[in-house]
Amino acid sequence: MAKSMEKTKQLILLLLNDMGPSSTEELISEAETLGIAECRDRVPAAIADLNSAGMLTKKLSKEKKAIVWGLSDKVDRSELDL
Amino acid sequence: MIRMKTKMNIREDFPALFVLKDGSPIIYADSACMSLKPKPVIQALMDYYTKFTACAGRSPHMFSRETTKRYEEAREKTAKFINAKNSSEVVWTKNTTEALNLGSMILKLDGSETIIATSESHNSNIVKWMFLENAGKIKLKVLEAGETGICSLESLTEAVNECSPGKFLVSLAQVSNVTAGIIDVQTIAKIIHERDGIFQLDAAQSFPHLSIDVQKLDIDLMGVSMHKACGPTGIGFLYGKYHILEKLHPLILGGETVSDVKIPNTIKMLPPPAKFEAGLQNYGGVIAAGAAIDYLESIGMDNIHQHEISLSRVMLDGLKEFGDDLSYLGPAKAEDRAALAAINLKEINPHEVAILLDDMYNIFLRSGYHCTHAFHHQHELDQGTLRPSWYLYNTEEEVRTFIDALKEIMDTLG
Repeated sequence: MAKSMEKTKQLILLLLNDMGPSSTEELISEAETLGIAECRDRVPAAIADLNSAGMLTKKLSKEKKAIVWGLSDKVDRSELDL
Repeated sequence: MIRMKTKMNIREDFPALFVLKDGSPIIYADSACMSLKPKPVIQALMDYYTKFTACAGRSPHMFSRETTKRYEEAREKTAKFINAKNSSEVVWTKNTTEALNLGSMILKLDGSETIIATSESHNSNIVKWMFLENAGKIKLKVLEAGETGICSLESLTEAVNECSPGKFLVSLAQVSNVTAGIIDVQTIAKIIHERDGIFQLDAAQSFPHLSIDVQKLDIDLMGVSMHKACGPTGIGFLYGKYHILEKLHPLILGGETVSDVKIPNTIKMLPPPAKFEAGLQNYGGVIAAGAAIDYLESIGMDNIHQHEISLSRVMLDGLKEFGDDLSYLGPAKAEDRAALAAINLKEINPHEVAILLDDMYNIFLRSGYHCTHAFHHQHELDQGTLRPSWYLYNTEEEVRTFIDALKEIMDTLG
């Protein structure tokens, strides 16, 4: 479980780098499209973990009716390539 | 009502309720997934690991004898708690999932028998049946849950009557983990037994909250997880009428399940429950499960149920204030349902709300499919639902705080 959670976190960082700021649902959908190897319900926990670690920025969007996540300055973007 | 204890003393029994997040108190509303643990359960686990760690029944020393004694005492307590005829009708498993899987071994699995389940079944009570059906080992009938969140007695009767007498098993949850509906176990048992079927009850969501008398309800097999009932993780049990357990095939074979083995092919199986408990067991978990039973008994299951009805009433009243902005399935009255709701937030993704509840309000609950994927797809709830679930240690004030927080979030996002 720990390994797949780490993979999911890495995938989220890659997706945010590739897609730009995205909502939770957009990240889940894209992760599913790419064939994430676990239940979609686990993705939010991975996002929350990254957020706690200061890796993400968070904005509330009325337009998207969602939290819009982005990559924080803590993330080394040069290491992210989808 | 647990009025005196709930408001004060009961909460003090649960250390996790006093954990602070960012310096502020938390609200735990995820008990349908995992209950918090009272001090006596934690102490029982500590005692096993610090005072008498050993295998049960294998060695003559004091630690082993103490473990054996407490292991079997826990079985006795559990049997008494559900009014089983004797403790040999209680088989330790690691959870409800394993118990239900084991229960299905009563079938011949030759393609001639039917399993009846319902659309709101937890994955633990549907995935195995789908596998068996795909492999041609059983026929599967899935009944749809209606508005009340449970299948109708008419549709169940019809399905039962379509099965060959004595060649079917009905496996139903007493309480749904998404619709909160509670089935009429006694009536259903009668319908099934009139046609010589086997009735297997998924009691994962009911055992922690309702008094269960297996003899009165005439249940043949029942799966329980202790982690939802103030007990430790990794321990549950299968209850079975003894004559059924005698015929039931073990899922796992090995040490402690046999009285003798001779090569080339002589195996003398032990009688139930030993024949199902192969290999080293979760002794600490079982002993702490016994402490959980003691704890629930000391509070009283009827008191717990009444307290949860009060919590449900506050939650349902609060949810009504949202009008058409959200919906939930299941019975309308608090008295007819468990203290949980799988809420469809329509335009707002439930995961966003769950993350914000955790992040901004320290309210812990679950979002998504809650291991009922088929149900969510069937009801076109493809984003999942938000599920607060309450237990004996929650207060009405906490439920109101959740409602207020949900309002603020929906106002912010909506």
